[in-house]
Amino acid sequence: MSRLFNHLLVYLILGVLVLAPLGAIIYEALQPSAGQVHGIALLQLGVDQQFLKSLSGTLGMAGLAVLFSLPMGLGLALLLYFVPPRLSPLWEALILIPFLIPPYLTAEAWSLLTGPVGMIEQLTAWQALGTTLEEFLFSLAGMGMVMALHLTPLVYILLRAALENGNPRLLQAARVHGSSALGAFRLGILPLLLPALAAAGLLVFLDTSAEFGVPALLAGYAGVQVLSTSIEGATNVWPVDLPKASAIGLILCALGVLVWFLYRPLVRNNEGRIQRRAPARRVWWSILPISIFALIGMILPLAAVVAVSLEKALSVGLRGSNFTWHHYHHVLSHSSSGLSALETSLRLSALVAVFGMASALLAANLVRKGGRIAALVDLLATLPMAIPGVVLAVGMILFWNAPWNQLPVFGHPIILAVAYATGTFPFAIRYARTGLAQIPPRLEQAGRVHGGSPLHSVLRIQIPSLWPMLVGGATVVFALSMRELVASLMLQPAGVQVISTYIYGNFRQGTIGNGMALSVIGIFSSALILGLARGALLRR
Amino acid sequence: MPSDAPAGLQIEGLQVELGGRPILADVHLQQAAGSYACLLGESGSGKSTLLAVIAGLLRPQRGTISVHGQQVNGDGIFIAPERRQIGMVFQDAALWPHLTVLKNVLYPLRARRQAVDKTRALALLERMAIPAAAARRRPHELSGGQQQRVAIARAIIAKPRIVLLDEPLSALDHGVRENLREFLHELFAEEGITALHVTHDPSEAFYLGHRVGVLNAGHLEQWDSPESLYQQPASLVVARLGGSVRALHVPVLQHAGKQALIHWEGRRWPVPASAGLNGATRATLLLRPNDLEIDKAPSDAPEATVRHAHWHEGRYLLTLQATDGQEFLAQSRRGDLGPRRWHLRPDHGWCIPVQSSANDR
Repeated sequence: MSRLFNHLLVYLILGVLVLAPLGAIIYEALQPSAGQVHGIALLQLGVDQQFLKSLSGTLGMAGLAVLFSLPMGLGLALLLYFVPPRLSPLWEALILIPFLIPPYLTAEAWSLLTGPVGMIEQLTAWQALGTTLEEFLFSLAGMGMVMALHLTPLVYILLRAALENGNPRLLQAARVHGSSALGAFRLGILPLLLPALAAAGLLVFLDTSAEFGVPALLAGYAGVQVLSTSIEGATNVWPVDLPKASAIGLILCALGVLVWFLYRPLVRNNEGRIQRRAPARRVWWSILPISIFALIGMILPLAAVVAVSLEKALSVGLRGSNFTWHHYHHVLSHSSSGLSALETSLRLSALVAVFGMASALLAANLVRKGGRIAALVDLLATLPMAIPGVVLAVGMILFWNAPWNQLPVFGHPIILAVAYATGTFPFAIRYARTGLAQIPPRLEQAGRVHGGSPLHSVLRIQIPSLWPMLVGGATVVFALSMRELVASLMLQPAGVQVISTYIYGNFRQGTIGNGMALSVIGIFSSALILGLARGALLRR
Repeated sequence: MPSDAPAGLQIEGLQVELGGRPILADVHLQQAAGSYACLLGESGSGKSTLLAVIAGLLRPQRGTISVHGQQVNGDGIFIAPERRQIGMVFQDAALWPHLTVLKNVLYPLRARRQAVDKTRALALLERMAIPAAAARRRPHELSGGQQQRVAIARAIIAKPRIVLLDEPLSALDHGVRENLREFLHELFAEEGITALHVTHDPSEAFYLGHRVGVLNAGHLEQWDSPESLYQQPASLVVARLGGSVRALHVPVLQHAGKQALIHWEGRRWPVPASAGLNGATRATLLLRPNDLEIDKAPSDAPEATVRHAHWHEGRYLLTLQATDGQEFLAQSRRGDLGPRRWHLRPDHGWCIPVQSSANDR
């Protein structure tokens, strides 16, 4: 009975979170576009010049992001593997931090750093540098570079894992048998790295083609169109064309699914066969490239955010007389919409972290049993990785705002929680599955044999054993929910804002200081809450 | 055991398939209540699967299982593991790392909503040579042997109807294993708990088991006393568990009751035989080294060639080749190669039917 209930609950959760919006999109994409009486929006895209331009913009931006991020990630991985500096965990943390900064914030920060009145020109003697950088930033290549800065840490993680998985003896054998250092690398390292490089490239392509925030901020000035902004435009700008938005969404989704299916087999073997190897030679000069990456990926953008949050007027620049706490006072004042946005984000993210992990644990238990149904559940649970947030948002509008759907979800902040839960489900289930894989089945069997019911075993054995993994997964889900932008923009009910839409809105309206102040408060408050929560939960 | 008392464990026609592959085929066994029995088998023979099925962790395709007269499996009945009143000791102890030693031991009482008797648990731990101070520790702070003792305490604290032990000693060092083996023997004899112990170590099974079963590729080849298993093995696989043995194909001249008259190397030999021989004209003769006399063989005894000799347990173990090409083993004080006379000792050797499953291998 409890097994049947577990199955039904998992199907319901995945059905509502994944299948319903996807089904709604497919149905809508098969309707005629707005202004057309007949035909199918999906087919009508074939003659839509704007769509074709957006498609080429998306492919270009994603391709350039791959082109920029792979060499950076590879270089950093090789440096830290072969010639790490002293205190390498610290330097590694600096490499990973840019992934934690939402890409739209990096784009905003760099737009503040560049330009004729940007901080770079204010602080340096190179008068032309700011303008040159601005021209680069507001171009297809600039958009690709911002995404590359955000995603290089992912490339680094994948390549570093591949290097650690490799067998150092292969390299030694090549050298002993007459290969040069480069020849040994080609023989012993490169074959291991190629699948990881391909996987990393696909992941960067997938994430960049789904990105909304960066092109929304930069594409307009760059004269570029991409699919994600076209979809948002078709749902927001008159005349609203939901069939067209769905059709473009379906194309973007198909692209994502294709890339995802190419990606999955490449990382299947890349799971924790860490080999013991002799300690690497430590050199001081490897901190130079790492510092340069940290500078452009993290230090300069964060410094810009903090500086702007403390400036009275942007054009006056970094002068003592121009500093003020006004933006912080404004954001933290009792009636501030910024504070309310922060509260809403914290509440929703905490809710999603708890319920998302609980649902993921249910689904992971089902997947662990194996069989066809388990494979289907696994596929559905990881599918949101391939569905861009903007597409998911359109699907949710179509499903929850459908005339036949009387549930009071659309127009209520809870719809944001549903969207966050869908987007973060693949991460949640990954943590739950990894945790479950670490518990020997005998621990649970021992619980059952010695008198524990299935529920008792889950509560008294499984959850306590999984606890660190569950807390880790909840932390990731919380952090991802806090920074989600596009679904929040498209689904937030009237009068409700979350932290990402507040920052984005303020930037678009030119009240940048308030947005940046809330960014700083958001980063610190969520770090503080997560730190305290993790400390308290993991101490148990 | 009185004939009307229910068996501690009764299994009838048990059949298990996993992924379409047969794991257990038509297993029948009956174990007396309060007795200690062992199941011997190599890796993949199905012995752990059998324990999982008895525990209710796996559902069989066919067959019935009864524990102390209560049917727990088969004929549309399936009792969940937690309601079978079973204790189990796993190969790797399977203690819950997030609970203290004491809480691990008390778990079966809590889970079954019985009175949580800490005094009894501590007394049980003391009996297992686990000091009271260690009861507050986490399992990883104990040695492998201590962990396994805690697992045994956990398995018996709720007074189960049967305790299943799945290779509980195999992960331990030799010294600890011997020590724990003796401990298990005494403990279960005193407590009178029915226990089924799975192992791949024949010496462990013969030391502990009043009855020993041999599983081979999912078939229960024999379920008997250790003595019968050694002297009257049902197959070559069973015979090998008792030590070095060779199987020879011989013609049978006559078979009556427990005796067969065979013809081999130009002589007629009366040999103990399985009732299953049943008038067959050919048989498999199982010979152990001590079934043959070689140092004091009569001068007219048949001759064989020593092909190999090595020093083994205080004597030479010879590999001899008969004139028909078949090989057999014998013990001798001399290790020289070449021709030697040999003689089959009276009432030694054991004849089984050629079609016995293991003889095919």
